Amino acid sequence: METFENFLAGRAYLTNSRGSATAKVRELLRPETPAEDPTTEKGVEYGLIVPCIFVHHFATRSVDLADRMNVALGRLQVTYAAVHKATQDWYGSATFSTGYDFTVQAGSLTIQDPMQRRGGDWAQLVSLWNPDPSRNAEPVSPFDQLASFPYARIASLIESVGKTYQTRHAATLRARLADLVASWQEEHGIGDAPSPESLSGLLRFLSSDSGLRIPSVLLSPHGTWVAEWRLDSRNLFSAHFLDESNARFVAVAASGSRRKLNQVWGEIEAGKLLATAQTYGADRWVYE
Amino acid sequence: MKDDPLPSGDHVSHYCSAHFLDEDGRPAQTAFYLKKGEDCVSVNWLEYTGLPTRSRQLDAVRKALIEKGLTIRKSGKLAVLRVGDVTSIELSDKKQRISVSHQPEPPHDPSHSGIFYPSADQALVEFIATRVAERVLEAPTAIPSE
Repeated sequence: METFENFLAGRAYLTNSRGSATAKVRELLRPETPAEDPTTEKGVEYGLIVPCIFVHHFATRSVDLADRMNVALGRLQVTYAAVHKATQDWYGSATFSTGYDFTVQAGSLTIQDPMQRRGGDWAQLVSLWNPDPSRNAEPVSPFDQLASFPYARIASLIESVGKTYQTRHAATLRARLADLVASWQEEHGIGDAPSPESLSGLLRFLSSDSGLRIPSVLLSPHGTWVAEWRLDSRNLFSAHFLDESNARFVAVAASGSRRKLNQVWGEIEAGKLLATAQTYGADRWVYE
Repeated sequence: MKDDPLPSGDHVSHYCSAHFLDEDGRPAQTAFYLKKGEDCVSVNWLEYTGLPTRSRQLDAVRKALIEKGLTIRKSGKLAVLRVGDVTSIELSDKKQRISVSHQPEPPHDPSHSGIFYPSADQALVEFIATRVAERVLEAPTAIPSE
């Protein structure tokens, strides 16, 4: 059976599901007016672009095409942008509900008659993408809209691990982040994303010192990110990134006698985490 | 009865979604953070089920959680804790104690209980959560199958 990766790779205007998806989408989604009014076209085949940003983070799991499309289009209510197959014009930027019929025909995606199903909603979706100039002096481009979508920002951040955010453990970290996002998305749907600001804080911190040991990375119930370095039950340092620049920390370190535990917690600027770890002796296992 | 403290020798389970497990599949500190709008960490009192084996107790809990409307995934795990291990966690302020009490939610979840932290201070809560996670008994239990 065809895999989703092969499906993506086989489309002329879809990039491979790994690596350069974001850049490719940026290149493809030109801020131009589409040649045709998409609301007049029904049942026309469109190449799906943006979901591949999200989908490629599921690529570590082995599922067949049908399952993956179900994940990408049904349960996750994917925000999408589409490119007209013939003209290469693009349109669209919306969160679809599961009420739409999506089918895969000969490896292409067909959005079946969206107007008929959602009537006025479609016009509303288009207006999101192409806001009335009289209302907005500076129309927001669809790419910018998509880029501000939390899952797109999360995907972009994960892609940047090893590039913008240099770390010796890039592949391991990317895989872990993707797994956590997938698990979160499975439970919360696409409307309640993990915090991109917190993830940015985590990645900035992890790339701030090349000597850091790779931590255990976790999500909190609030969608914020936590890094934990644990030597054993008596020696632990964790940092909970509340946003890009603030964190809560917990330091637990056995004292020399092995009978007493130093236990400290608090909230500080993320930039002071390493100094805090050193102060409480936790740097012994935070560093390689 | 509601609010009765649980016997220290009894056990509770806590459902942990996959994103609250560490890379080794062990429930991590974030599994024991307080969720929005909750004043305690939800657990189930295993001995209250009256069932003789741990696996049957956990199966009863799984069914209760599902009947209550929670989505229980096989990628998650049920962490089992001994009540006394949790309530004996020492805090720097000796007056502060962690408590575990019965909070039944009839009709579906009569064994529901709560781990109550002594402070709403989030930094302290997160510290306590790291200590609670350390008390999870070895080999956290996979979700029982149907």
